[in-house]
Amino acid sequence: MVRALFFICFTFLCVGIGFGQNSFRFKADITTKIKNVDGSFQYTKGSVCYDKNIKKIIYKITFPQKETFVSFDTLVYKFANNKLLSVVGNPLKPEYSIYHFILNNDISDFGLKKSSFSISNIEKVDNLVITKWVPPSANSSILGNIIVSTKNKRLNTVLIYSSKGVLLNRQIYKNYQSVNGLEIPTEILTVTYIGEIKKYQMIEFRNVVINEPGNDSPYNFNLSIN
Amino acid sequence: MKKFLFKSLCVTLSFLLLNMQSFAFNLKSTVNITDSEIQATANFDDSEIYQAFADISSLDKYLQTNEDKTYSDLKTEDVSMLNGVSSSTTLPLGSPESDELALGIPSFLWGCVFGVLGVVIVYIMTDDNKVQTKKAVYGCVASTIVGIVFYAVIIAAATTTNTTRYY
Repeated sequence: MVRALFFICFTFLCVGIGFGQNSFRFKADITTKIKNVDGSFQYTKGSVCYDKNIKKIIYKITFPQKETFVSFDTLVYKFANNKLLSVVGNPLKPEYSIYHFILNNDISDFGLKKSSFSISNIEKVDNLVITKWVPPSANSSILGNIIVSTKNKRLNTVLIYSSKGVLLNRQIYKNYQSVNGLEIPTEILTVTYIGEIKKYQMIEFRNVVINEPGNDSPYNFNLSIN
Repeated sequence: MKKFLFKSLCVTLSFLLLNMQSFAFNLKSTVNITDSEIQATANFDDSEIYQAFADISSLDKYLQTNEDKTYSDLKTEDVSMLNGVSSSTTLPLGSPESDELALGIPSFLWGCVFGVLGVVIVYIMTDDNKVQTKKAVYGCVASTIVGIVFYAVIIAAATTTNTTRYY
């Protein structure tokens, strides 16, 4: 009886450790390029790290200025030379960021499975699986349908429409890398449509590291530095 | 035997009824994917996005090999690479840095309450963010117009009152 109990406890412990070894840390070099509607550019380069247990996204920016941004809960803290410069609100919590979705392997549905949107239709066109997501109530939001396409079970394109059926935003996820069993898009292209005008954005990830051992301090940035 | 057949028929019919109900629900809730949505998904040429960034390819290549260089370094070394490039940081994926507010207060309010001084404060605190500065200018203009209308109404009211006294 004692042996059986010990065996059960041991099995549960092993399962627990197994879950504990899941992907929990993301680190990469990041480049963001934006072409604004007035034709001007914004170029930002640096590195990003995220631990899904700590839930802080830390951007160490090297260009245009050496700055550190920490997104925690609904706030973004801006630091330079170890001094807190500003705190601004951010509606997108880290647990709804792409880093969290990547670590949880939830990226293929653009995180919509856990949202209030519901699947309306699924079609297969050539090698693309196209899913139409509809909002809970068309009148309650400015957002309308969202079209998500996957290719080989990897997120390929996201189209976001307004409630009036006008295309607002297009996102293309490309150049996937398999790291630690996770599928990571290393290039994200975005076009935002503002009437006839377009705004372009390109995000690139390089040197992606998953579950970096030790080196805890960058993932848990001390927000009380002054 | 008759009883068994009757029971089987009942079970089959109830299954059929349940299935028909679920089919009816599915048909009601389904919204077809339109041809234009399929075209927009499957037939988009992303080369226009790469083309949009062709003007900053030299900056991109330079920073890949010179990772520690900042905007101010390049301003003194080779300003041609910064042609049309803003000095403000933009964080990806929904972060609000591009719409950073001075002390978290909307720029329109800065302009509205503090006028020209508010515009200057927004310009400095948001690292010359044109969008926010423009909002502050709109706030400044709005408060000026409201002020003018307010004074016009007061002056008109005072004039009317004075005129009434004479009568």
